[in-house]
Amino acid sequence: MPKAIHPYSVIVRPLITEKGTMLSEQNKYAFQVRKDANKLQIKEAVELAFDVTVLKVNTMVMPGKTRRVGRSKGQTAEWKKAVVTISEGQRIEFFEGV
Amino acid sequence: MNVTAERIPDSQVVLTIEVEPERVEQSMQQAYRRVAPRIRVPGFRPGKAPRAILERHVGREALLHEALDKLVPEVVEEAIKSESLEMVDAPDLEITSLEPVVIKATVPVRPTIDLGDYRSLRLEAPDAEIDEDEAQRTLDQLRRRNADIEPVERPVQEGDRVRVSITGTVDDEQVLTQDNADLTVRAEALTSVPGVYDRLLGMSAGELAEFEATLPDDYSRGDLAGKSIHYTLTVLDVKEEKLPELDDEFAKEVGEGFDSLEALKERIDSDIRARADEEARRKLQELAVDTLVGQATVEYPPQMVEREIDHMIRDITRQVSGGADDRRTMERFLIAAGRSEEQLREEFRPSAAERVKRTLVLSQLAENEGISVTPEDIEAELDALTGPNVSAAQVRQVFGTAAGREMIERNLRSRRTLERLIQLARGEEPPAAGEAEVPATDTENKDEEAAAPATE
Repeated sequence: MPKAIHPYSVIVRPLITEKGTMLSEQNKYAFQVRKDANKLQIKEAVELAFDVTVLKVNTMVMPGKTRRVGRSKGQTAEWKKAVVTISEGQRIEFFEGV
Repeated sequence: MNVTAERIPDSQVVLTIEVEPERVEQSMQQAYRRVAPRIRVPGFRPGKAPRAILERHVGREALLHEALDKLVPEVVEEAIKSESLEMVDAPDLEITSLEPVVIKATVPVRPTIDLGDYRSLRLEAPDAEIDEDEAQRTLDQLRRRNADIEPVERPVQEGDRVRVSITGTVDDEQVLTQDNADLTVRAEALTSVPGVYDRLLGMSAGELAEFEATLPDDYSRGDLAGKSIHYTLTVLDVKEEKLPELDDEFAKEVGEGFDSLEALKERIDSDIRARADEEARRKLQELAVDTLVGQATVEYPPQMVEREIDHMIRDITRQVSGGADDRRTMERFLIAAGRSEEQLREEFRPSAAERVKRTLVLSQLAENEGISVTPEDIEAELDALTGPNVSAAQVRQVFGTAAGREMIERNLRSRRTLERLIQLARGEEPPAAGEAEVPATDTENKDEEAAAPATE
């Protein structure tokens, strides 16, 4: 049984990128989500936040990148990306008023 | 596009232009396409961000301003065309509102020039002033130039030529040494050696004098001014200027082919008269121009004065930098003159305004009087420049260029305009405006002739 998390804390931010905008033409929207969130929680969170019907959630864990400062090696954190498909005819506006 | 035009003083028109939102939107879309490739939005390669996201990133205002940079000149130009204004300089633009876009453009338009009743302008021609003594002075000069110099055995007199050796000492320092100096014994010829003239008079050849004199306070060598000078002066020989008699013989010697004194005198007189006439004519011309400018009502946009000031400043820059249009020299000049460019402009403003007014008035006069310069006139002028030492080819090489021709045309035009003005001022019946150009006047004249006998 996964930990109960409040839906509002699931979505970290929308991914507004070239790829993200391209996906939106197929009714798919990409988000960075909490790493411990599961697909059901993501579905619930998106439906609540944007008032849409979620048909499908695909998730993936994006590996952290190696970063080095001088001699010290480091790693950026892994994060979870979710691509959410919503039903035809619905839209998510990431910014109000645009 | 909604345009209202309002005429304000100084030959300016204020256009208030309201641009439709659709047009603004279209212009913004163009602006987006223009700027997109230069703007980096995180998550997108440059130029790939959609407009909504780019607008979010830079702000709608910024994009709107970018759009207006292009839109405003376009719209203003259209407005000027639709109001059929004759613009003479760049308009002042001001954006008074963004939603909707309203532009206030102050357009300088063609000056209005009212010459007043210039055709009845009559001026007293100033008399040619003739200096009665001038002829005598010229003759004396000629006599002196042709004088015979003869050695004489007598003390020095006024007007003699003497050869001397002279030294001058101030505070034990030799400031002057000359052997075999030729001097003319005249007070005005010896101002550089004060005291010498007085002493020379009465000395004889071979005589030596030592004496003191005080240099004047305004002496040409400032460091010696006011000091006492010790001279040693030896007169080597004395010669007399024998002025030729005023007779036909003298006239022939002057050269230039005079065969009698009478002819020479006549020539001198006529030269003097010609110069005086020229001077009188110049005065009349100046007076006429001043009067004409004075009575004319001229309204012109202030930008013209600014342009004129620009010209004047450029001229000065060219002068101080010796030809080149060099910014740095100008700055140094400004520092030397102890004023800023703004102050300089301010100082130029009154004379620039005067010049603008004059130019406008005269060009209006030229227009009213139908004064024109044809290409043939320019050719004739070019031929006239050809002289014994200058071949036609040389003249054409220098002035045959487009710029040269334009200069000649301008010159010719202004000369003819002034000519006409003088005719008017003298009350000489000048031909009706544009007679030479408009054949219609010919028939009018005939009508008058035909009408005249009928009334008799």
